[in-house]
Amino acid sequence: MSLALRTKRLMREYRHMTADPPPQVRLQSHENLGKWEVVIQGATETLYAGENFTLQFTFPEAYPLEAAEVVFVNNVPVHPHVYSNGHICLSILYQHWSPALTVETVPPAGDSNYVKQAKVSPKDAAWRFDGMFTPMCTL
Amino acid sequence: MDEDYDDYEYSEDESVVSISSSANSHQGHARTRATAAAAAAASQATSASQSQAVAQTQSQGQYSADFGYDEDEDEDFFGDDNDFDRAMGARPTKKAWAVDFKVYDPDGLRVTQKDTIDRMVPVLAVSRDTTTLLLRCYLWREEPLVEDFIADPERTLAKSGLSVHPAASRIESGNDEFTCEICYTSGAEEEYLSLSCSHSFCTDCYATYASGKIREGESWRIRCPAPKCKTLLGEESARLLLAKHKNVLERYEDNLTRSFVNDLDSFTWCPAPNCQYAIECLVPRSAMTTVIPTVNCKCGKAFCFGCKVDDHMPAPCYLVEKWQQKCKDDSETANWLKANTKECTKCKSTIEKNGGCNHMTCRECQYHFCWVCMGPWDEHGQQFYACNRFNEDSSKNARDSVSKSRAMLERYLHYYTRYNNHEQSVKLARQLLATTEKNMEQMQREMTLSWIEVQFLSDAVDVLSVCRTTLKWSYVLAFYMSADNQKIIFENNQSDLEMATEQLNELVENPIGQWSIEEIKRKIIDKSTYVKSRWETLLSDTSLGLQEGRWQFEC
Repeated sequence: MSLALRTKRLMREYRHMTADPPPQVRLQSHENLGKWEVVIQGATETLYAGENFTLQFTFPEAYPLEAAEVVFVNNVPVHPHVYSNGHICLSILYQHWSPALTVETVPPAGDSNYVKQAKVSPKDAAWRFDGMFTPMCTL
Repeated sequence: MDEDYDDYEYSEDESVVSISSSANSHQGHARTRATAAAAAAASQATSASQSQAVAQTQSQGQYSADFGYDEDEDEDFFGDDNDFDRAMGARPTKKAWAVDFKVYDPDGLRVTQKDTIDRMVPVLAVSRDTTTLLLRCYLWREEPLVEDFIADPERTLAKSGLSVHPAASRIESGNDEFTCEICYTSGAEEEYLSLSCSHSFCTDCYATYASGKIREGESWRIRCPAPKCKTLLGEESARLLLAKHKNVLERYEDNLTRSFVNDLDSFTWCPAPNCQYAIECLVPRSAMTTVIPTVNCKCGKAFCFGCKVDDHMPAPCYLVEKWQQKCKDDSETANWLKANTKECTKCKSTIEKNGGCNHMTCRECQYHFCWVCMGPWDEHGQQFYACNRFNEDSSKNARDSVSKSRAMLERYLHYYTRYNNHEQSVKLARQLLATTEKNMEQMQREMTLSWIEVQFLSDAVDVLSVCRTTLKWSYVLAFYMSADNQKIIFENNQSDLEMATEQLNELVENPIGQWSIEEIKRKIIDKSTYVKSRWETLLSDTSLGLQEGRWQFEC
């Protein structure tokens, strides 16, 4: 049941992404149905204007009940919620995932506000310190 | 009743009662003497044959009642639990150290939840499902819930992810417009469910989603799958969804009960492996410095409600925690330090000498001293490496100052050794039980006694292990207790119990020997009764003492 659901759902999302993608987002490649690369253009008037970033989506077998694995590859943006290895610190990609979220609606691809969260001063960000050496910030 | 026994029993008892009641005046003493005499007379009158009477009470479960195992009582709670026993004339009044508690099996827990909900539905005047969710959100605290709800029902509901007029949860179909946001199936034939937030998803997706959450241990905190929607999936809707998934539904009900016990401070699970009972106890956290809420699960486990550690009477929880931490940190280290090190007489740094001569230079304070006599090195003059100055004043002083800090270590080890001995003995008592069973069989074979007639042996072993556990923790209490007259009284009680326990242990270990079976039986029963009375004295004295703040604790 679950694999059929996954296929059906991904086919549908794929059709959407090719036919009517959100602004400044396009599906670049898909090796197979389970691994997509999505390119987002840096929004104008932000730190990221003029740059392109690639997000890699890997869909597990239990998708959409389980979250897709989403990371930045190649050019990793400088952003308070993104680690230099491309991992994204965003709760809805992990414990707050909801099966009704899609590739289009998951930030940073789906939410243009996401890029605006790169604050000019670190004092404007809400930091949470997990242990001694791993500062994490919350939305 | 044996004359000899009588004198022995009550004269001992009397002396201790008078101590533990801590009445220094003559009046107090005289009164206890009179009481003891009266008790002696009464018991003489009632029991025609001492051993017979005791054997009977033992087999009637007197022991278990005394030690707090409430085997017969399921529903009684708070005070009225004596009715049955009062009717039977068996149960003495409540012990000073006993706390009220109630053991629930999973069905009992379900009934308790149901009763609370039933009580609240008419008060809140909302649907049963909503009431249940509200109660769970408020962690079953009825008063704040009612206050908040009366003040502002809409806000209270919204805070808990509910709405004022929730649509009755039912599975719908026949809507052409419907598309499931999870699997994108659409059409009039699709069955779907929506909560009060009106996010609808097809029943298959919903059920799979809920099952996943339930397998993760969730119950009432499952939310609507729509992103950022905070609406909670009520029990009715969950039962509708999972009607076809019997296993998941069972798991869901289990999780609900589990969260009921976890959410409430006055409930806890029995920590014994595979035990499914939960215990309710209303002793507040703040009282646990003076009260030790020891509860007995129906599975036989005795544990402290406050810290979930095995029965640790008479030491209160905070001392137990301190002690366990100390033992973890210190015990082996302290033993090693004692055997291998000395302390610098000036700065008290601990020093291990692992070679070289006796001229020591402290790394910490650069003090020069002699390892042999511990005195300052300067005074050794020309007699390097050959110390014969044992009683020189300065070296004597130096040794004295070191001995003070060593005394602390010695003190700790004194209590630790005894604590540890009793802990080991409790373990040995379990082996003793096996030997005892063998002895009991032997007795049955050789002396043609019936099974019931040899039960006194295993009862005695039970008494032994309970007393050893109490003794073990009594050393923890003594370790932290400041030395004063009150402590001496405590220590007298403790040593009486310890002595009696050891004597009983000896009797039980080797019951078949020089005496006849009747004699052994009488001796063991007499001794266990005595040990039990010492045990009660120690516990009631310490529990009263803690409540009165009789002792000062150094920690």
